[in-house]
Amino acid sequence: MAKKAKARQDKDRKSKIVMLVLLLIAAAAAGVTVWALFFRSPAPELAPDYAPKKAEEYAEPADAETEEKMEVSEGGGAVSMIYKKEAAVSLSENMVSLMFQNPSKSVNDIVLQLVLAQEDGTETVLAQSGTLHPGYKVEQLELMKEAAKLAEGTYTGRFHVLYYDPDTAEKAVLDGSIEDIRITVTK
Amino acid sequence: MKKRRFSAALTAALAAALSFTGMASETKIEQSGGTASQDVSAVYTPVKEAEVVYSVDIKWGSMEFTYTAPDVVKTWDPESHTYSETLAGEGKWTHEEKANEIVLTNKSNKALTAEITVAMLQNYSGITPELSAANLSLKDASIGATTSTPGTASEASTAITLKGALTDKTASKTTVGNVTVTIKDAEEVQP
Repeated sequence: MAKKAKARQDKDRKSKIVMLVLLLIAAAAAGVTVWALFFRSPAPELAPDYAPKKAEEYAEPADAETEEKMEVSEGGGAVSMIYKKEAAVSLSENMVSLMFQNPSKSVNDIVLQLVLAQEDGTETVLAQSGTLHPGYKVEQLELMKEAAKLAEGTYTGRFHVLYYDPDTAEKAVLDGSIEDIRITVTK
Repeated sequence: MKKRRFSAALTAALAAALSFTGMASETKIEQSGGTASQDVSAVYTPVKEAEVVYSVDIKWGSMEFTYTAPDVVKTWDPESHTYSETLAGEGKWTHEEKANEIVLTNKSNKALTAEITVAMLQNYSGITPELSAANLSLKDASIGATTSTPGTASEASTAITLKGALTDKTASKTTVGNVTVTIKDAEEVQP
């Protein structure tokens, strides 16, 4: 009789442990789901077909005065770009310092990519801006995950400049590439 | 008394003159009436070259082209009792004025080059793009510029035309290719 009672007690304890483990797994799964839905910042789509709705986080006003817009033929586009051909990557800060300006006289919005050109011909996007409206400049951008693999040193890359219609947000049929950007990587 | 004062003043003047000479020159005057010389050296530090400021404008047309297919001529064959179809001539690509133009303006204090490439999408590889100029040279806008005289911005342009047939009969404002403008520093010409 006592043996039967002990066996039942053991069975109950095992059941409780299994239930507890299952509850913990369910709680962890719920936590991951909540994080994925509400807190995870997804990697931005590279060279999107439509300009990101969110303006670049680190964009600052570029011009003291607003310039007259450039003339543009119907359905076409016009941009003015002021830039420096150097970029400084700080791995510890997860940021890249650079200078790229979309002056107020531009018509189109811009998305800027800093692309590392590797010796084997492959290219890696190190940073991509949000939408840079006319009249704004960017002097720093957050690095993308791929940049963490870089070793300290000096590299050559390019600015890939994507232009977007300011009314429809559609990507223009034309894009720009500014070659020979000197990229310095430090810890 | 006057003589003593005069000789004292003369001695002081000579001593002062000798000491100034000694300061001006490291070479010594060994005897009375001798001379000494010392080179005067100067170092020229050139004015730091102005930092390159890149400033480029790009304007482009709508890049919208319209393809008009050639007329199809139907001919009745009385022997086989069928029609045969033949194309009368070739299809024609047209566009609005300036819709096919790309204009670059260089306002940098650096000469630049721009390479224009047109890549057709895979489904439209039968269409061949042609450029009036694939490589554009843009002069340094600072040539002749001073603090009071402005330099001149350099402008260059190219135009795209299409050849070949558009086989997609449902195409309506369909993207058939992309244009890339690649900007580089112009190679320095060695004097």
